[in-house]
Amino acid sequence: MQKLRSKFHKFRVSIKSKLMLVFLMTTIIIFGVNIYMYFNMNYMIGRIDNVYLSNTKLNDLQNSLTGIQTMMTEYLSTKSTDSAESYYEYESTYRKLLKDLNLTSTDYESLLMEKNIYHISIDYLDFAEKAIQAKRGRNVEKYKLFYDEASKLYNYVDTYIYSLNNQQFQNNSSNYEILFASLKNSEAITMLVLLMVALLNIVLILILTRGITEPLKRLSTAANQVALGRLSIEQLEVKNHDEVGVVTNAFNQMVYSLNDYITQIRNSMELEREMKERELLMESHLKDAQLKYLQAQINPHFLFNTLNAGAQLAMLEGAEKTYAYVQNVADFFRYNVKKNSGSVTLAQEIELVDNYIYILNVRFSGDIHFEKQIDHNLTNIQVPSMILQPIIENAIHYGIRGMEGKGIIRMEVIQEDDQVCISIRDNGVGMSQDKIAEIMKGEIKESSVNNDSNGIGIGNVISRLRLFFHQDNVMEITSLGENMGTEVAIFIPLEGKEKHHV
Amino acid sequence: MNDKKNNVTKKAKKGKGSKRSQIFMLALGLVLMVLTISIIIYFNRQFGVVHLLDTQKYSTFEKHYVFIAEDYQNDFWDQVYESAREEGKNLNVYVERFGENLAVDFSKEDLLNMAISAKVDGILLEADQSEEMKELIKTATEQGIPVVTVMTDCYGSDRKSFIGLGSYNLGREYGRQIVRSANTETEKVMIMIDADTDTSNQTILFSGISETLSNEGNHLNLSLETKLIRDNGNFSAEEAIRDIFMVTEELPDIIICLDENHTMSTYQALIDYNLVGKVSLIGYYTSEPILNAIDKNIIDATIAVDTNQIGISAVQALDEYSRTGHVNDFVTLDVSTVTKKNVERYRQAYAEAQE
Repeated sequence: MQKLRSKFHKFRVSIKSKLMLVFLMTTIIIFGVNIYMYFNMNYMIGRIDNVYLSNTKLNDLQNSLTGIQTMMTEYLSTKSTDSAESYYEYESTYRKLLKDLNLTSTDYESLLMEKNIYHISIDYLDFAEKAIQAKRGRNVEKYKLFYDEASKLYNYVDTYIYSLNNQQFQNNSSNYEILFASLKNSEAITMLVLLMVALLNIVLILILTRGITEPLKRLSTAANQVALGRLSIEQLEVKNHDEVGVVTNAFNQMVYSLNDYITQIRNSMELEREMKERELLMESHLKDAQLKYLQAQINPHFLFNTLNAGAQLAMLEGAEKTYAYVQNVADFFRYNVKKNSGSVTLAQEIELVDNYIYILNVRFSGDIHFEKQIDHNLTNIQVPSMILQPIIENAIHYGIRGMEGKGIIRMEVIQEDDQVCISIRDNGVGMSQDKIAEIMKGEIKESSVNNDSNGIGIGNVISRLRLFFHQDNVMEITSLGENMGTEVAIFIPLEGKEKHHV
Repeated sequence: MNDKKNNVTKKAKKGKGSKRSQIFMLALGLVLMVLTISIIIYFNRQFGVVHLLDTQKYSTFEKHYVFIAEDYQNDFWDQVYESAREEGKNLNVYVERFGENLAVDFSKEDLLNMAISAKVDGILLEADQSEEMKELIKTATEQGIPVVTVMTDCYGSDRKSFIGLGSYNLGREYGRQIVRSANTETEKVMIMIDADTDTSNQTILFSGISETLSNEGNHLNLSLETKLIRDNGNFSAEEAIRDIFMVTEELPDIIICLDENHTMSTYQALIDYNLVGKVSLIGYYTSEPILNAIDKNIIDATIAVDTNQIGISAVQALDEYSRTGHVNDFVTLDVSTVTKKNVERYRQAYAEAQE
């Protein structure tokens, strides 16, 4: 059944043929019922017309019979040729009419009466003929005898026909009543049937056209939904494979394609974002690896222990300067290792710078003149570690190392409006504007950094400051020209400075 | 999200609604179709009636016999005719009650004449002893139509067979009943005789009665008397019977009736003249009023004739003759007496027959 149904559904029927089917069906039903009713009514009217036919026939029969008897009597009394002619005319008519009568033995009284009428009539005609022949032959005695006999039979037949006629009339009258009642009934029934058929047709049309309009309605509702941007509607079911079915299929396909397209775009965007993220991650991982690599080059604890041991040895030998030096070196590297990541106070940073300057002064026999002017109210602010030492290192390496005369490095920590400004100024060779721009853009690669350095370039410092304080303007490098020195200024927002613990 | 959900439920609701309305439509269509079809069927039935008018159902038979008896308004002959007709159907013969449908009441002789003219295949006749009838039976026989007389014969005619009670037997039956009804005080017994029936028959009947009385009733002192009832025209028999009670000073003790109509008339007269118990009535035939009267002790006894047997025997005799060319000249029928003792059985049988 299901299979058959699906098969039927697959069979494509166009709307035109469907509509044709609807109209044909209803028309045929109406037409058929009408024809049926028409024929029945016609038959009934025909029957009513013929209801008294048997009486008419019997009347004819009786008239002919009377004619025969009258003409015979007339002939016998006048012997006129006219009456003889009339007699024969009546006789042939009568014989013709007799042929219609029933001759079989039945239990239907009327038919049985016909049979009796027939036979008695034949007897009668026989005697009538004999009487006429006898009259012709002037056989007076005989023709009177035959006439008497014929008259007696005439009386019988006449009574018989009359009785049958009466009976038939009664019968026909009741038939007529039944027929007439039936006819009246039929008229009402015909009207009723036509009404019912009309109603039935309306229902049929409604049912059949629903199959056409319903999918259209659903399609239009769905189209409206899509027009409002709701692409997530359900797929429309295709029940009929007509034109609407085709459109519905196409609509379904369209909605599906739209959804598919949107998904594709979304996916590719997602992919792009992911790729970018991965790139960044890779870079940071690379950095991390680099750092880890550098750190792994020395075992810091071994170094510190060694240096401590050296310091203690120097103390035992009474070499104060050596002790201080080794202690400084140890502090410097411990800081370096410990605070490489995370934040520290500005005071700790300044302490590291002191250590560093001390070490360099021992190395370069006090060439570097370091001056500090520090607002100690500001030294508690949190800053990323290792931000001052690389700047000092830079100032020494690129500023005062190549100059002649006494190199001076001056560090100031002051408050400017809501910012803390840490300024490191040297009186060295200065810096070209191009170089400054390069440094600010972070274009100097780590590899180009001198082996002698701590390994952290200014670019790195700028990046970390920017990340730490979430602002771009963290450093300013100014140099007035050749041999005019360089000033590096770091700006740290004062507001929320204590909170920058990472 | 919420909006979407709403939408879905709305849609589902809508879907359900449209499905329901579709089912409703289908049901409506079905109901209308059934109604239309049933109306058309009803309509057809109406036509069936009309068609039926056209084609009267009847069966045809090989032969056509006619049944001619004097009185058609008579229960006795009705039953005889019915059984003859039924038996005829078994033998592929239709037995017509001749002249019944005619507007004029013809005499038996006329009917016989007509039947001969109508060339029927056989005639069952309640005959009489008239010469005319004898002549007509002769004519019929000449035309090859066999005639069988029933109940009353036509002696010396060409009739093929007579189906009757046998007057002597009947007389003995009446005689026995007279003996039973009579006592030592009973003197006068009156026998009502139809003046039209043949005399030889009545002589035999009469001798049957008197012989029985002299044999079995010799202890009684009875005088037999006959009363001729002439039935000249309609109702004259009834008047004649009433005259007996009006004119005769000395009423009979026992009245014997030899036919159904006389029995009924006498019975009514007995009631009207308040003679029930004074005059015993021995009747003829077992119609319902007669049986009731026996039950009420108004009629002493009645002679029961098996009407079924008469009809069947008559048709069979005719059939036998037309098949073989000969038949028993005289077929005797069984006779029995119905009294208060056995009336209930007859009443039951009568009731069953009516059903």
